[in-house]
Amino acid sequence: MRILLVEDSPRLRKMLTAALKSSGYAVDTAETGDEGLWMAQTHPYDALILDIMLPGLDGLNLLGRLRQSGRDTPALFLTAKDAVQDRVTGLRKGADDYLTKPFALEELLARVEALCRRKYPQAKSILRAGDLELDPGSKAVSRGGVPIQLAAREFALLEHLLLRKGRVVSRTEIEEHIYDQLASPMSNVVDSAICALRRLLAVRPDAPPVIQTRRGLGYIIEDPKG
Amino acid sequence: MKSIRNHLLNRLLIGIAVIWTLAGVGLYFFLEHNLNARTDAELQSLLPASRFLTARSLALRPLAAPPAIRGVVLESFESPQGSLYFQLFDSDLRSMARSQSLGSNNLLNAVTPQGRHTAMNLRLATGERVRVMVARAPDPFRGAMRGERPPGLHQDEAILGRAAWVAIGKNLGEQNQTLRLLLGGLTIAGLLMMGTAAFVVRMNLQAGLKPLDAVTKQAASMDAYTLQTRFSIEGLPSELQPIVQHLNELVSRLERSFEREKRFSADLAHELRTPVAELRLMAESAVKWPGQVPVDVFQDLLSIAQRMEQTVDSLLLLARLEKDASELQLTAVDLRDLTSECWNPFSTCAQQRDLKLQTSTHTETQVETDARLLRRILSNLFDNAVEYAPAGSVVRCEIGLVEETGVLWALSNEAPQLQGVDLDRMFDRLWRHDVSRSSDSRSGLGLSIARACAEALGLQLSASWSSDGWLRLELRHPGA
Repeated sequence: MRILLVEDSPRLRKMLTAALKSSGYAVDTAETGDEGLWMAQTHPYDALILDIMLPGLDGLNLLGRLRQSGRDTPALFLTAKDAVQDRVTGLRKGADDYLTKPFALEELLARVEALCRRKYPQAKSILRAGDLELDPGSKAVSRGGVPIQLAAREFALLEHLLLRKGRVVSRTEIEEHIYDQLASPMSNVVDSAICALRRLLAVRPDAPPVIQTRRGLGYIIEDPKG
Repeated sequence: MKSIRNHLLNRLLIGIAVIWTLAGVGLYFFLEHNLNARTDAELQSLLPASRFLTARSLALRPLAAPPAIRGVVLESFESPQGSLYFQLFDSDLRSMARSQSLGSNNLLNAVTPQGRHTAMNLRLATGERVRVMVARAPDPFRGAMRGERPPGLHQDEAILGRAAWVAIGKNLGEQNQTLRLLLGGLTIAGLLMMGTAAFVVRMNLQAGLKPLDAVTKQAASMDAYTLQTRFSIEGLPSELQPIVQHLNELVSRLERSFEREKRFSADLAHELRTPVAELRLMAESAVKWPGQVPVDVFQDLLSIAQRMEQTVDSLLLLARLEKDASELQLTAVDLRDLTSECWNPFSTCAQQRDLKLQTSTHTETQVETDARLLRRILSNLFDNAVEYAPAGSVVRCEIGLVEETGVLWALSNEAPQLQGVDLDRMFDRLWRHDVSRSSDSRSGLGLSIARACAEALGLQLSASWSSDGWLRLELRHPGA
C-alpha cells in the first residue's frame, strides 16, 4: 500500500514516515500543500494523510481541488485543529477520516488500514488463497497452519497480491503501490521481492507455488483448482 | 428588584394625587371663601334690621319690619330651630336681647372692639358652627343712651340707650353640608381618577416599554455563540437608540475579544499539540519497534523540549508583565547606546541576508526608563525585522524623542508578505504570519511581549504603514 503524507512539521513527517514504513507501507512525503496536491494528482496512492494548516495551499483546499479533479483517494486529516466545526468542515471537504494531534500510533495505523481497505471493498478481514492465510490486523501470515515471518515490504507485497486474487498484477502496479518514489523504475526490485516471497511461502518441499508468473504481464495469486 | 414600570407608575400616580389634592383643596377653600362672602353679605343686609329685631325680642313697641326680614327670614330668627341668630350687647358686653333661635347659646365671643362689620366663625355651646357679624348698635340706640330722646320714640325704648353692639349670625350647617358634599365628591372623583389613571398609565407604559422588553429578550438570548448578532436600532424610540447603540458597540468589543481568545486558544493548542504529538509518536514507535530507534532521536527530543520550554517561558513572562508592571527599575538610558547594544546580536544574521541598518538620531536620546524592558522591546523588533525584511533591503531606525509626535523610537522595513489586516492582529499572543506555524524557531509571542513591556513602561507600541508602504513600528508616549 502506498501512502502520501503531507505534513509541514519536519520531525513529525520523519517519524510518521518511519512508523508507516515499519508497518509495511510505501510512503511519499510532501512539505507544502501545493507539492502535496501535485503528488496526489500524479501518483496512484492508496491513502492520503493530510495536515490542515500547511504553508501555501492548506489541507482543506488541497483535498477540495483533488476531489474536483476526480480523484477519490481515501484521505485522513491529521491535524491539531480539534473543534467540532473543523472536523465537520474537513469531512465535508471530502475527507474519509479525521484524527487530531496528539494521537495514538496504533489508532493512526488502524485508521490508515481501514482507509486502504475502502479502496478494495472485496477485502475481508483475513485474506486466503488455498492454505495460505494473511491477517492484515495482526500482520500474521501462515500456510497450512505454519506461521511465516515476513518483513514489512514482503507482507505488503503479499497483501497486495491477495487483495487482487484472481487478477494479474503488473510489475508497474506493484512498484507504484509497494515502493515509494525512491525506488528506481529500472531496477528488478519487484522480481527480487517476488522471488524472496516465493521462497518464504514454500514452507514444505512439496508445497505448490502460490504466486504464478504470467510472462510479459505480471504476477497472479489464484485459489487452487479442485 | 427595581422596576422602571412600577417606578414610573408610582411617580405618576403620586404626581396625579398631589395635583388633584392641591386642586381639591384650592377649590374647597375658594368655595368656602365665596360661601362665607355670600353669608357675610346676607348678614350685612340684615344688620339694619337689628332695631326691629331688638324691639321684637324685648317685646317693646312693635316697629314696621324692614323688607329684608319679612317672611321666612323672620321665622328663622324667631323659631328655636331657626338658622339666623341675633343678640344685643351693652358696652360692658352684657347680653341685652337675643333671638329665640339662639336659645341659650351666646354670640359674645364674636364681639371684639376691633371695628364694625367684623365677621367670624364661631362654634356654639351646642356644637353648631355659626358665621357671626358684629356691628355697632344703630344710632337710635346710642342716642337714647345719651338721653337725647328722638321724637316719637317710646319711653320703654330708653333702656336701649345702653345697647352698644349688635351680633347677627347664621348657622353654617347648610354651607358646611355643601362643602362636605364637595369634599366627598372630590375624594370619590379623585379615587376614581387614580384607579383609571393607574390602569391607563400602566397600559401606556407597557406599550411604551415594549421596545425595551424586546431588547431585553434579545439580550437574554445572546451567548458566546451568538455574539455576531446585533440589536436592531430601526423603529426604536429615540430614548432607547443611544443605549442600544452602546450595547451594539459593547457586543462588538465582546465579539472581538472572544475571537481573540478563541484564536489564542487555537494557536496555543496547535503550538503545544504538535510537539506533544511528536513526543508521543517518538515514544510509541520506540516501544513498537525497539530495534529501529533512530540515532538522532535524542537530538529531536531535546529540540522538542526546548521549543516547549521557550513557549511556556514566553507565556509566563507575558502573564507576569500583564499582571504586575509595578516593579520597574528606572535608570537613565541613552537610546543610541541601547539601540546599538540590541542590534549587535542580529548584525551577523543581517549581514548574511544583506540587510543594512540606517539610523537617524534626534537630539533628545536620554530617557529615564527600565533598561531591561526597553532592551527586550528593541530586541524583539530587531528580531522581526531581520527575519522578515526582504534580503538585500534596508532597515531604518529613528532614535530619540520627537516632541511633536511623542515618538521615542521607530523601526521601519519593507514587509511585502504582510497585509493590511495583519497589523490588527500582529500583537496578538501566538500570532504568526505563517498560519501553518511550521517554523520551530518562532513562537509568535515576540510582539505580544514587546507590547506588554511597552505598556509596563507607560509607552505605546503600534504598527502602521508609512507613506512609502513600509511597515513602521513606533514606540511613543501615549496621548502626545
